[in-house]
Amino acid sequence: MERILACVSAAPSSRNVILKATQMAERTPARVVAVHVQSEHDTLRARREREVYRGEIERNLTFARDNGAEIATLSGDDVATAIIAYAELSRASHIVVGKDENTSGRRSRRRPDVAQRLIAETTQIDVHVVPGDPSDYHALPRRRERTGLRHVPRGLPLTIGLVGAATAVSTVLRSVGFTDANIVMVFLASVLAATFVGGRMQGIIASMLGVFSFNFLFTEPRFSLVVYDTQYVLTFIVMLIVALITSELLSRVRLEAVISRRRADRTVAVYRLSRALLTASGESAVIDEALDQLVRYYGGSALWYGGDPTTGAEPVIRLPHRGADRVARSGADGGPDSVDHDREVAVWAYRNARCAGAGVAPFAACPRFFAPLVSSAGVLGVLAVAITDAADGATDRAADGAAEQRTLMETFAGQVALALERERIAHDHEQAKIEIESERLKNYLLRSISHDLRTPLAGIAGSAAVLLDADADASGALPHVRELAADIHEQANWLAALVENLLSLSRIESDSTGIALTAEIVDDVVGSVLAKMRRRLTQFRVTTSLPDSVVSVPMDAGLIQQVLMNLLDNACRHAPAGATIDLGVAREPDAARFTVTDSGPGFTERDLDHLFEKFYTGRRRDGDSARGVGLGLAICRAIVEAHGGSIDASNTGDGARVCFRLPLDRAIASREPDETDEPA
Amino acid sequence: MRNEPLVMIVDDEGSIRTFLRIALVKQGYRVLEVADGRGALSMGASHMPDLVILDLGLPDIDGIDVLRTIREWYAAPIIILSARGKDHDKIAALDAGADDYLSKPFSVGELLARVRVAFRHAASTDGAVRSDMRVGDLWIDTVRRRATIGSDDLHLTPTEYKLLVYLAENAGRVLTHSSILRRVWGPTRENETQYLRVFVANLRRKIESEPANPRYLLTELGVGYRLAAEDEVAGEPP
Repeated sequence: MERILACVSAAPSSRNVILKATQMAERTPARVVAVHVQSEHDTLRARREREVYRGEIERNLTFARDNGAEIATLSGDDVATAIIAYAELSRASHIVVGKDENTSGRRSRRRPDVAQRLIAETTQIDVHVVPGDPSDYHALPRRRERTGLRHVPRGLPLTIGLVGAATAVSTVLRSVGFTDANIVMVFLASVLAATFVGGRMQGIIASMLGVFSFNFLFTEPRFSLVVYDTQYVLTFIVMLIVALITSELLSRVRLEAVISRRRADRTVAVYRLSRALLTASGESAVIDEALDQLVRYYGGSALWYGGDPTTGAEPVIRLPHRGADRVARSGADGGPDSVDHDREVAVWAYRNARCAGAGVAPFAACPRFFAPLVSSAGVLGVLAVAITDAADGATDRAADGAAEQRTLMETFAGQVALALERERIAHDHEQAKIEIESERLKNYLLRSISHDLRTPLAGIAGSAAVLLDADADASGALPHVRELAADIHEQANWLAALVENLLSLSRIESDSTGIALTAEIVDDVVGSVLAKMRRRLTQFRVTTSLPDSVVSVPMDAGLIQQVLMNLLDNACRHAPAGATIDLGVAREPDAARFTVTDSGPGFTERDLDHLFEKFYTGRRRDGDSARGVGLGLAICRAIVEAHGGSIDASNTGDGARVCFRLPLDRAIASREPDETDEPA
Repeated sequence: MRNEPLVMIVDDEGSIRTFLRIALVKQGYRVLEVADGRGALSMGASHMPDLVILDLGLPDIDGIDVLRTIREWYAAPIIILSARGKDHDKIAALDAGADDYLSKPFSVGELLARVRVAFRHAASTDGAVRSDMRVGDLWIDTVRRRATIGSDDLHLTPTEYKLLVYLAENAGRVLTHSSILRRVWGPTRENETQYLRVFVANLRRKIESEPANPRYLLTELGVGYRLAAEDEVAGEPP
């Protein structure tokens, strides 16, 4: 299936992009993948921008998800490069991008538009540019709450202490006779220390306090804030700048550390899960490990709905404190109705094969996030965890942001789905092996028994024939002996035919690789069948028809001979003596059609429905009048189908007709005789 | 009494030996029964039968090996019995010098007909080239290189004529694909079975009134072809 990439950013045009991509996907069956590129820049500005636009991006991604798109979050320094790389990797045929795809506002002016770059740098992929609506753009919130401010009250006493200490040290130094420059150094040190311990705000406060106390205590006139010497003004400014720069640097380093720790945490969590899943064997073990890891990472309880949650089966719930594994009767950490509500979300997630809950429509209010395990064979079940919102702020995980938690959960779900699928395939494989083994044994038994039956049957039939013959010479002296011999002869021959049928059947069924086909001339097969059946057919009027040209059909001659013999035998059995039996072969464009028609009573309605089923005999089985075990036509069908052909039965109005077709396209090319061979 | 032909039956199945013996004795043959390969080799050497009926599935020695060993010193006809579906064995046996074969289960009448054909051929192989051959309504004049069916002239290509003559010389006997190809086309064409099949199908359309139900040119599926023996055709309604 084709893939259409929809480039999603914070810009409102992203919605248009998504709608456009969805429209395109409807026209040509395609899948829409909403791509969002997360900048890898860890400058404060980049981070701030991310902070500011995160809400918009999430909203847009949710919009994409609701429109049935898959979500892919990429990371990279350069948006256009990342998108192109992903598009090539995922073999996307179209990229839809908004005109103002640079969400970052001011910065964009220095760089070419993403859309322009996509157009310039792709060759195989169609790029569609969707105009944005600039009026919406300005409606975006420009600034959000700055990080760090919250920490002011905690750090203030420390900052005051530090500046106080610097003041004390400076007083001592001044009394010993150090110059102003050295004293400024001490204050700078205190600013550094304050920034380091308390962050940027503390640094600014410290530098202001420092400048204040330096001015008040150490510059002339002392004990006043009046500055006589303009040189000191520069000192203040420098101190302030140093404090700001230091704090900026420090906070950057610190944020970096936090981010990389979170990233490492996520990586470790994913790694831990995949390792745990790798060693887990059996479906329940996989689920067990998955729940363990989810509880470990998300802190809250984790739920597993195996199979279809609509069946009403209770979910497996794993609580944060280990060992309390149980089936929920009431809500584990929700209200009493939370189980029912959870089920509703789970059912939705299962049916739609999409994530739901915890901020994702249509169950945004649900505290749990439900991720379906999507495999190639459909949805295997639904995993759920509680997503802690950043607002609660209790855990470090929460600070990660709900979006990251959800993304990670989707990653987890993908891994678990893979592991489950692996387990199922392994299980199916095992099952198939057992079945093949038992099938082989069955066929082996059937074969060896049939083989052993053949020889004695030949003996019985031959002996009966000799007996029949001998009696004929004795000119009817013992009529009952002749009758018995005829019966024995007939029955033995019938049994022998049955054995041949069984052998053919076991041969087709045991040969999974298919039967060996050789090109046979239709004439040869028909002729040899009629020769074999000659004695049987003497009481009937037999007509034949062949195609005008010599037709060669790829077949297993022995098996097709068996089919024709079974069909003729059926005709002999059901048509009255003196009836006409016609065996015809006609050439069709891509098949050879074999038809056996008799002028007997034909099939009943009921016959026609079940004719080709194993062990269907049709006529009532009173005594031995109907001797068929009902294998004949079933074997015919098995043989014809093994050749890739088809068989059907019908009534002609004055008799029965069975017709089968063998495809010609499996032909081993037949060679016509040399045309140079002139008549004598 | 001693002049009646001696037939050796080699088969490990007692019941088959019994009815074969009864049927053959009734036709006036003398019969020697042997149950295994070793017995066949020793009894064959000591009694020198006039014809051997040999089952390929023997308990001690492979039937093909028995056949090859006997053929080293034995020139009289050998008819092979084998299970159905083992075409390779039949071809191998015919190529190893067997005169004819029958698939189990076979009818007694069929067997007796083959035995008669074998004896007839054994009697005629030492004879010179015949000037004409007749099978039913089919008549081949080898002097004028002409063939007729009833009163109609057959328009045969030289190769078709050559094929027909080869089949007629061996009327009643099965000829394998490869032996026909070798004889009519030469050793280079020996494996082109498909070519032969198409060729025979065309020839059949010239000879037979009802090609789908042939009276003369019979197919031994998977093995080769056989021109019907004189008495086989005679028994058929025209």
